[in-house]
Amino acid sequence: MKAAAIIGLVVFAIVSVVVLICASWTISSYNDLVQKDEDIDGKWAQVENQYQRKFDLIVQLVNLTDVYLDYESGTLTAITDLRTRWMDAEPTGEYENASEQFNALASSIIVQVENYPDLKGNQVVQGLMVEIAGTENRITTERMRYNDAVRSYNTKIKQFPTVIIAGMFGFDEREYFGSTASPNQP
Amino acid sequence: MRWALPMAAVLLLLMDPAGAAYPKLEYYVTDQMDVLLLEEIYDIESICLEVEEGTGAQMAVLIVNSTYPDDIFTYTLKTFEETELGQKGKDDGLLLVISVSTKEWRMEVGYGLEGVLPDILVNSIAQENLVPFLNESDYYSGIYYTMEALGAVILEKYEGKPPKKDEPWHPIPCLPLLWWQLLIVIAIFVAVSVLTKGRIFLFPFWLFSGKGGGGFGGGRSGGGGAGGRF
Repeated sequence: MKAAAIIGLVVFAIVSVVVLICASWTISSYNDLVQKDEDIDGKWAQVENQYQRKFDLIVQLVNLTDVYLDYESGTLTAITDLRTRWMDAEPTGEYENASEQFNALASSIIVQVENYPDLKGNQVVQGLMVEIAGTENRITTERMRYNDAVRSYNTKIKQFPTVIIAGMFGFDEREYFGSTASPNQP
Repeated sequence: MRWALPMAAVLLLLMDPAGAAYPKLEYYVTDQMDVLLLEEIYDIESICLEVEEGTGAQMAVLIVNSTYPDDIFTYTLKTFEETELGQKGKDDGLLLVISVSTKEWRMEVGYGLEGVLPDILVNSIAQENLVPFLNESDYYSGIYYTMEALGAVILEKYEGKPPKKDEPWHPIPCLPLLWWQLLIVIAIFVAVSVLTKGRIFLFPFWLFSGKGGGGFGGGRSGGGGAGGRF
């Protein structure tokens, strides 16, 4: 009777320790995933900020050089449209599409400005060009950090045993953002 | 011995071939190419020291042969992060990387200094002070005048605080203890050694595992700054 009671107690103790360990592991894994997920959103906000800045700067550049250069009609509207598309985009694929088009448009504008001799000495325009190049560098940096965060999260949710938690609480894989804009030197 | 070759092969496989190593800078000026004389390095470092003592902002210079396999932009950013330039939480660091063989330069400005050193300003300072001298391979003048100009802007406009100056003086450099704390430790040590009849002397080494504090702590930058060719 006494032996049975002791065995029962020991089994109970072991079971409760195991349960406790499992519970604390579940909580910490879950919190870790939530934090990584939030981290991705934070990094994405930075990418968005820098893209918005680039949109603003390109619009400024077009407005400033409109007098000298013969832009295709509707260039500004095209930029604004792309901006709206970019802002409203949901899946990463749509972002990539919009930013690729925007980058191509921006590059063509920049090339036109660079090739126009009268604008070479214009301090304001040159300042804007430096700022645009800087913003492109920042976009590269923030995109790299975003992708690093996504990689870290995606690896985590696929690894055993975190994969169980990810499956239980519905943590889905996040998408990378691989735009073609390359770092630019002023 | 016959295992040496296969083992080396396995070790090589284990190492990540894509993972380039980025230097963790320990001095204000790191000249891997020996293009600067020692006195010249000291001259430049004295500017960096003045800036750090005045505002806490950290400026560093790195001269390399090339940044291969990375472009200079990525290399500078990663080195900046690796070194954790700037004070922790303020990210008030600045790193100038000059790649000698590819004739490129890049200035990375930490988040904390972006306000006083916008890209346009950094670019114009570099175009005036750095590029003309680098073109003539006069690395010293270029770096010196650039750091002087940047340092002047930081000292004038950046409202940072230098790291705490009133740090207590430690009688033994590697031990962060004051005199009276040291005396207590010695007293306890003596008492324990008497009580254990000297056996404690078998383990005195733990005392010297103390790590010196200080150093860099920031390292976040958003790709701000400027760069180009010379």
